[in-house]
Amino acid sequence: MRCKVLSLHGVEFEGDTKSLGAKSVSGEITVLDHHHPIMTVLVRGTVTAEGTSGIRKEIEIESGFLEMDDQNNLTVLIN
Amino acid sequence: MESLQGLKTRKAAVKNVGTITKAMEVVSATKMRKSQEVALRTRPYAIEALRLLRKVAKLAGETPWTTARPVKKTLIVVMASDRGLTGAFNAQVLRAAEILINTESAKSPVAILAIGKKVERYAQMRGLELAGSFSGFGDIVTFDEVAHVADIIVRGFATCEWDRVLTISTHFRTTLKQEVLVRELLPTNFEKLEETIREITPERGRYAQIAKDTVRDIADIAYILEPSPQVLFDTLMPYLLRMQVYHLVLEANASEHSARRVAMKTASDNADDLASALTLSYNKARQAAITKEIIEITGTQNALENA
Repeated sequence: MRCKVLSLHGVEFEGDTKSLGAKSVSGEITVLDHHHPIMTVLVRGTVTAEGTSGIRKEIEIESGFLEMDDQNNLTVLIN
Repeated sequence: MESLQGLKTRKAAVKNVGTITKAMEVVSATKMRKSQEVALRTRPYAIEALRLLRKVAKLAGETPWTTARPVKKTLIVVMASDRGLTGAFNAQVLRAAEILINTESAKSPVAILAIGKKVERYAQMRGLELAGSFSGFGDIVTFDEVAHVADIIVRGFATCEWDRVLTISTHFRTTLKQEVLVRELLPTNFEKLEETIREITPERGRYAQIAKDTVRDIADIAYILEPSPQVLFDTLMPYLLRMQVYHLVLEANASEHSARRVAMKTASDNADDLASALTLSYNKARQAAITKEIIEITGTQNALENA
């Protein structure tokens, strides 16, 4: 899936991603390819993105929002 | 011809002014670069946030945030600068504000939220109702500093203090070009957000296609909304509005510094031109004085020889 993690300081992560894990208000969530469209509020914790090329990126967040649409695009806005 | 002494004083004065404007140009060039960088870096985030808000506004349907209600009072947020010497920057904003205030106050009472001392002074001069006044956002500003401005706007809207919120601010296009844009912040709706996104998306570059890839009917997508649609909207809306206000401030800052830099550049160029013109007339006057003295000396000598 195409994934974009954005913060006020710019683009934190962008690219083809295998999976993305984060902590949402209702618990830990891992988004994989073709996840059902979802919008949720993220809470303080770590967002872990795993790229298809094997890159792993961990980003500490205070809060954020996650949105997966029906065309395999994942957008995460973080603070 | 002006006296030698007078020309000398004027030349020195012009050179002095030139040095000052040059220094201000250098300072604002640095600030311009910084504020442009911050504004442009935040743009992708702002655009994504607006897209998300647009989707949420559509999915949410009728919420207090998105429903227009009878307008008893309109809040107009005006963003200009704290300091002058910015060329036409403040004048442009205030002229747009003047027009908007005149048309709006014909419909309903208007309150002003002033951002920048220039706006505050303008509102006081016109005797307008001030809902609040903020200054000191001129240089580097953080999200938290702007958050309480947004909170006032949102709180006032929630408690029905005002029923409509408009903003007037400058959008940064390039160093030489800034536009004054009027936006309706609240109540927000799908069409307005669509328009805002179109306005802030650059014409060229990698984010250019965002405005175009728009209106698939997202109501068709069966989103899972967690934890519940209500909670999601109530968290998202104030946050995204805050984000929007922050972004407006950043754009206005970048515009202010660019405008000042350009104004100061023009002023220094002008001072240079003036100084060289004055140097020329000073030299001419000096030469004329010397010639006059020589004529006097030779004249006297001739008279003495003939005597």
